[in-house]
Amino acid sequence: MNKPAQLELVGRKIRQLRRQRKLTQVELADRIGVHQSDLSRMEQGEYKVGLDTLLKILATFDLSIGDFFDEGVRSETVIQKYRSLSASAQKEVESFIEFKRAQEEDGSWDSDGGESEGDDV
Amino acid sequence: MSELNSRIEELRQQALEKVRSEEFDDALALYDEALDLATDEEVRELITINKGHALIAAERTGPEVKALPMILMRRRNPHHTFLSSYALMYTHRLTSESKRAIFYGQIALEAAKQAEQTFWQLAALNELGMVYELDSQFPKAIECFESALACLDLVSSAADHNVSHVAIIGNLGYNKLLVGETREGLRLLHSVIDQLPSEHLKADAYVDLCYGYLDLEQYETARRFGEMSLAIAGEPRQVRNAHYLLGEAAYKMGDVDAAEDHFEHLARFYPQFRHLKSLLFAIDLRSMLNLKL
Repeated sequence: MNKPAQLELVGRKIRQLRRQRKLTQVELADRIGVHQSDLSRMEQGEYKVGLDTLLKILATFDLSIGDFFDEGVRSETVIQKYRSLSASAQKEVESFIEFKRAQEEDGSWDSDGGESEGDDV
Repeated sequence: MSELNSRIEELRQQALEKVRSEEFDDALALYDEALDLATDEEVRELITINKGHALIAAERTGPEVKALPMILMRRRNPHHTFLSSYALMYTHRLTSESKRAIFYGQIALEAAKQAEQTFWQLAALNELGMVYELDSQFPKAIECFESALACLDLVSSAADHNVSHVAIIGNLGYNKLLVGETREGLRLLHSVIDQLPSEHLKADAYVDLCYGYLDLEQYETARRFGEMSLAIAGEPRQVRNAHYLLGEAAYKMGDVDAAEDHFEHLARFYPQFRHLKSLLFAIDLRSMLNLKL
């Protein structure tokens, strides 16, 4: 993978939640006080933000762990197990997930519709 | 130089000194006095740029700040082009308008090169590096800081050399951490940390070290530096970063009570976010973070 897994994961999740809440990038960017272009890059895993901004975004959606991982309590357990692994073991797990995802999705991994960089501009 | 011109230049130099010591009101008063005396357009333009920069450094605005783009467009000479574009880069960095800051930074760097002024190049490169860092363009930031260090070898003033060296190495070290060159980043940060001139800068550097040692899975060391940062952290940003990374370090060490305590402190900044603490136990946000923002 070219991008750190968590960066990509959180970015895609923010984009998905924003769409579910029917917010444009401009609306969410205004709400949390960042530039729309920076939010766009963050959703694509290309832009790092300050902790305050990141937590304000997550607070906007009032996320729970279940919301974040879509699978409720069961995924919470899986995630906790994952988090208890060493960094190198976590990378192995991530690689395996990527491998399985590529297998299942036949190359088109972006289930969120592959939003373009200029979305909502 | 006439007596009047000597007096104007003397006032300008005194004002520059006041800016360096962050006595901004005194500096602005001296610039106004110089402007009252100056009639030559070029001299007035230089004082206007200097005053604009002082206002920006004091986090204020005024007609001199608004005049900077027009002065830059006029491009009367390389010195004024450099100073005005540098000031514009600086003000746009402070307001997180990174694209504009990069635009003006590139002009400043080009003007410094054309004028063959090594110290201007050094200043432009260091500032431009910080802008690239804010814009998550970390490899470009590293290029800028490394080029700035190369310029530094050519600067003769010992005072300039020392202050700039510490600042540039600190910036370079942090960016090395962000691109995964963790050991090199830590080495650079350790090499300057005792020379950092303020508690504010030290709090940032300690949290950078905490971040780096977390990456190396050296959690005890990470925790030690996180606690050192928290002890002197002044800004809310620094307090939040320290609590977050300390929570991560404690969690990784299996010290759930300490992790909970740090995440609880962080959660108090966001009372409307009911699930924050439990979310922090489940996901690792470090790869999303720029600790300087």
